[in-house]
Amino acid sequence: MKPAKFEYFAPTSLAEALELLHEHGDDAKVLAGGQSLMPMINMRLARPKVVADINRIPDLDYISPTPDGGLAIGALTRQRSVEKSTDVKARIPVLAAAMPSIGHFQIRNRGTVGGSISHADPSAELPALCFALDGEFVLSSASNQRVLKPVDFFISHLTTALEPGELLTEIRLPARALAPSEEWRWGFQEVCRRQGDFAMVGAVSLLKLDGGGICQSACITMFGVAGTPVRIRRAEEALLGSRVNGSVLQDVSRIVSEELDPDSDIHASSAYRKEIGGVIARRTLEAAIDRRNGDETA
Amino acid sequence: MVRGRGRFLDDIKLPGMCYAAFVRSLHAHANITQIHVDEALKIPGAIAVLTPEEVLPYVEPVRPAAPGSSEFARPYDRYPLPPGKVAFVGEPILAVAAETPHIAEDMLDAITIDYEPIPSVTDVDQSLAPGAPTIHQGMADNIVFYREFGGGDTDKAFQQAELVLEKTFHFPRQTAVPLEGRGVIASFDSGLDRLTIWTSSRSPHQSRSVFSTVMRLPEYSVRVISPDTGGEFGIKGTGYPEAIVLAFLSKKINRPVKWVEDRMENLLACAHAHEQRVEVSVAARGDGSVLGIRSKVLVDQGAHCLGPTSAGLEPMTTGQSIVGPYRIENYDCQAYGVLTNKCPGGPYRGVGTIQGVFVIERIMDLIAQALKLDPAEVRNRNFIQPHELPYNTVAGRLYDSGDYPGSLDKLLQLSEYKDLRQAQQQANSRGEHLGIGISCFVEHTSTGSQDYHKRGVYGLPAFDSATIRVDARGNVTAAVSARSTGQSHESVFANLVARELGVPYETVKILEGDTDATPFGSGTGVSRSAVSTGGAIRLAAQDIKQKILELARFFLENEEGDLDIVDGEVFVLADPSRRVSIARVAASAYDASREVSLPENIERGLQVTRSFDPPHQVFGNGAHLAVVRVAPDTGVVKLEKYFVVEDCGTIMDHVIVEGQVVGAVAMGIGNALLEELRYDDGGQLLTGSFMDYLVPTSLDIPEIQTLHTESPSPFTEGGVKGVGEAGTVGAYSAVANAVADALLPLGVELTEPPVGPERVWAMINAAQGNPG
Amino acid sequence: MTSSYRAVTLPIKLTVNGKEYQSSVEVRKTLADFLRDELGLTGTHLGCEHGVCGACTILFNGDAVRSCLMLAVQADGANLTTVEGLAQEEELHPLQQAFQENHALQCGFCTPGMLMTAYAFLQDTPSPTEEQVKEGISGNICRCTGYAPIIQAILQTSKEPPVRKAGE
Repeated sequence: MKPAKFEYFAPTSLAEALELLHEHGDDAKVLAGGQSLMPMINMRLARPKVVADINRIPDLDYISPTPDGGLAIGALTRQRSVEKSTDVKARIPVLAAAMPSIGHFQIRNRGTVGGSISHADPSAELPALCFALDGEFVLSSASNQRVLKPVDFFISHLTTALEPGELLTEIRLPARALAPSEEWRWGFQEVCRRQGDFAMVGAVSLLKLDGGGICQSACITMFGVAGTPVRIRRAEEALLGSRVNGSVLQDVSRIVSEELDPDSDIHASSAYRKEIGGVIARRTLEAAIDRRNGDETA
Repeated sequence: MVRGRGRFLDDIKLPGMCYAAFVRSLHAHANITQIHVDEALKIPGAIAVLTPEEVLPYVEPVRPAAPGSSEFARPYDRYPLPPGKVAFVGEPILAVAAETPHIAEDMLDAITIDYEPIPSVTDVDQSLAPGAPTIHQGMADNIVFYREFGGGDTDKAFQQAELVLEKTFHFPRQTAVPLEGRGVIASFDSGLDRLTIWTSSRSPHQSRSVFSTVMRLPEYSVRVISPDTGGEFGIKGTGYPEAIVLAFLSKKINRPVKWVEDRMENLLACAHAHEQRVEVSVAARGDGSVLGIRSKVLVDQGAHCLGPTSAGLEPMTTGQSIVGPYRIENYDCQAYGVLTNKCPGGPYRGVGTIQGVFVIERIMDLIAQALKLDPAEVRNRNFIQPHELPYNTVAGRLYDSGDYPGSLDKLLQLSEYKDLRQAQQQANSRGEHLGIGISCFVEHTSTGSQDYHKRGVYGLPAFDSATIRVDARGNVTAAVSARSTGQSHESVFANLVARELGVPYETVKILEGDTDATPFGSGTGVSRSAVSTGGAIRLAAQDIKQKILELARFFLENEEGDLDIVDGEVFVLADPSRRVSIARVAASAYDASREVSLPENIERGLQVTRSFDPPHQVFGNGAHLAVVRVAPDTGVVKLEKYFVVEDCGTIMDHVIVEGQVVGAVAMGIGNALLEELRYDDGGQLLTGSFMDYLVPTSLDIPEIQTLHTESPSPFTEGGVKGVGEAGTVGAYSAVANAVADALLPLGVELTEPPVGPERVWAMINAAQGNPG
Repeated sequence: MTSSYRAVTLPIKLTVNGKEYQSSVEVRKTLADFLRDELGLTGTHLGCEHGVCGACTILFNGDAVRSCLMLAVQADGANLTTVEGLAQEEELHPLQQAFQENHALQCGFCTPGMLMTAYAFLQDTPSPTEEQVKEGISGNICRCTGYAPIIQAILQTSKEPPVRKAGE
């Protein structure tokens, strides 16, 4: 299990990196944390002609609070930094709470936010969180910069809107799912074979209740159940304007299952994912309602 | 080891060494029509390729059980590289050698093989179907092993039965995945005309026999060295074609060559194990006592037989294990080894026993369920009682010693069983699903020649040996035929020698793993080293001790009274102040002392070799209890508590026995909850990485509480028994029984591990009539 | 692109266990292979080469990482610690001592990665609970011990604060 030959570049500035990607286009693979790419290179499942190592670019690793109360995260920011960031904990607690579910700490020490998102594994946590939080991705190229919403960025299994020559450089997350004292409540859950594995099914739910417990806004995002993270709009609609109680959750759970059309793989069948999706969605909503007593794990 | 100074196979670098890799079959069953290697040889750094045709004229075929033979196995010929036809995905077809491992893999990329696919069979039903393609030339069908055995009168048992259960169990394909994969270095010395092989094997002498047989070399032309081994669990035994091929490769290019299996190869082509279908009918009385059992064991053997006992290993072991620690007087078993176009099956910790125990322990619970009895009570009504031992089972085994009801009783106390059941009732009344699972078992260890003969296997040396030498300064070397693969032989055996001889532990050194430096013997495996190598050590130590005492008398004024040795000093029992150090005595044996002059009729030197062939298998026993919590909506199983009562006869070293038991329980938990190799219908492996073949992590193993009891065996030196596999044997069924118990209120039928979330969910759906 | 590296083989300079090395390394060689083959530091083991088993765990600028998932060229300028750097001369690190005392290794193949993980974990969580230890080592597979003695060894070490820095 040894890599095939490739050319290696380690640009030391963003401009240089974008130039390099422009030059090599489809032939180049970006090496960030390497936690997904390197196994594929070792197994020769990936045989890039050119490896563009972006780890020596100094200004892509940051977590910056934005004026609107959200965060801008550099693509090269290690997942472990996000996990430990007090800004993340204060501003987007659901993100902080979900981080330990990504692999193991040695993986998160290297794995980057941008890498996970660009890799676009449909069972991965970060793409789903960005989806749920309605973030924005900044895509840079030698000649251009554009901003995409996750719904436009994730196309299918391991496939994104990144064009040859483009690099994901920043992830912007708006101020949603704030701390429990705020009106947004949240829940994150996944079912894995073992802790740290990719999710068979996962859910991120964000919920806004008024003083009387009536749902004003809801966002239910499922992952591991389709080629990309998916929002379950019909279930969200069922919540809107209702007092979120047991029978409503029952309905929502059923609707989520009905709406899912997952694929089967070695870890779980389509039928299992479809049904468990509803269960997990309900659990995240229950956790959201009772956030202070909420449990982050399945 | 903790310093990172271990010397594992891949740590060894020889001058001039190059690296091998294997082109492996992409098809489950295909004729090879052409091999294109020219492009590969053009790569800078490429050295050579070795094709099946080049090897064929110089090798003997390997047959099932070779170099031994089996009366019940059907013979066919296997060659190290397959001439003309491949029989499973991952089968090595040809070898390459290159200056670096990277270039070797570049060569693989540049080689193309033209295949002509032929229909394949990927399960036992397909394999046994009329008109199924036969996998090996010269065989009439795909049955590679068949034997009927048993005793008593099952017809009568079933006539008398008040309760009859008929169940079919499916066991998944699993594999040991030691953290270090297989590896071989072959170095042919053309000057000496001698081959040296480094291999991460637990049985260097048996490995040498295989090299010698297949390559038509006298054994003195082959030296096998087994360096530190990073886990083994049964699967690094003998008989892999890659090792033989490496020897040829080294000879062809006249350079040392190394091959280290990577994890993908390990999952694809190192021995698989455990895949079986077992059909049983059980006749019981209304009180829960079992009258008789009929069983049919169908082992999915894969494309070849591996390992010394070969084809009969799993079918016979499972068939014989099904009667468990119970007084079952009527039993019929039909045991099949069936070939399929999948990776060959070989031994993996608990081989065969784990399935047999699983079957009978599920049956005990099902009887309890049918008769509304407590599962522990049903077992108590069936146990062989201590006074009945030694006990000849109807399945052809002789249980030597143990207190099976006593072990269960201790387990119930250890686990506070009554309280657990109460807690379960309370939990279930809250709508939770808490389950308690018990498993009671006996486990054969230390198979000797007689037991192999009983199984129809001949020509398989089942003895182990030890050479003990005390040097002229009184230091002791014990060279043994076993090879530790993590069982801490170096300390256990050194302690044994020190105790038997009466010398300080620090003055004893154990030598293992080199056929040039150790006496011939079977090696490690079948949980045998404590018994067989330990037995040989005791015998040799006793002889040496006698010799030392005999020599010591010359230092003690020809004292005729009893002498003994403690702390390296020989003393007169009647007057301990009269003493002489072993160092002084030993010096005289080497003519290095002027203190005494020995008579000429005393043989010089202090060196003895003895062997020990276990006269019977000896049977450890144990009782395990698992507590699980199941979430029925997701199917997630959480193992909460685990208790073990273990009886492996006389314990040589408590810490190491504890380590073996706890480690094996963890592996058994993996077997029960996580581990499964899966193929698609075309015979392609779907679980080719550690992302798909799941082994337990620290978060999957609960605290394991153990209690050790000792029923010494009457058949072995010191009463010891083996213990390496017992933990896996108990855990597989204890965990499954606990899950079944948790789901009992839902009417769930559990006959197929591993019980991962989806299987639990599917079982619940099946029980509730949902399509799922 | 003067500041870029561009070659199949590149010169690198790094510090491993306090010692400086300079080497020319093929760019496709992983850090783990480089440490083992070229520096002869064979304590770092390869158990899967796809980032699951943890046997190749080392400290990269102080962080525990899978060395099979990094290229050697990425370590240019880095400061690494491998299992060989844990002990000071003949004196074992308390973690190594605790592993020995608790029989926390059988075959010893996972041990180097386990030790490096445990070391980094204790730097981060000096007084962990048992559950935290379990989670901390859950990215390292051991096939022999069933983990209990490893957990015990780490807990034992954690009770002896402050944890001494390795390789210093």
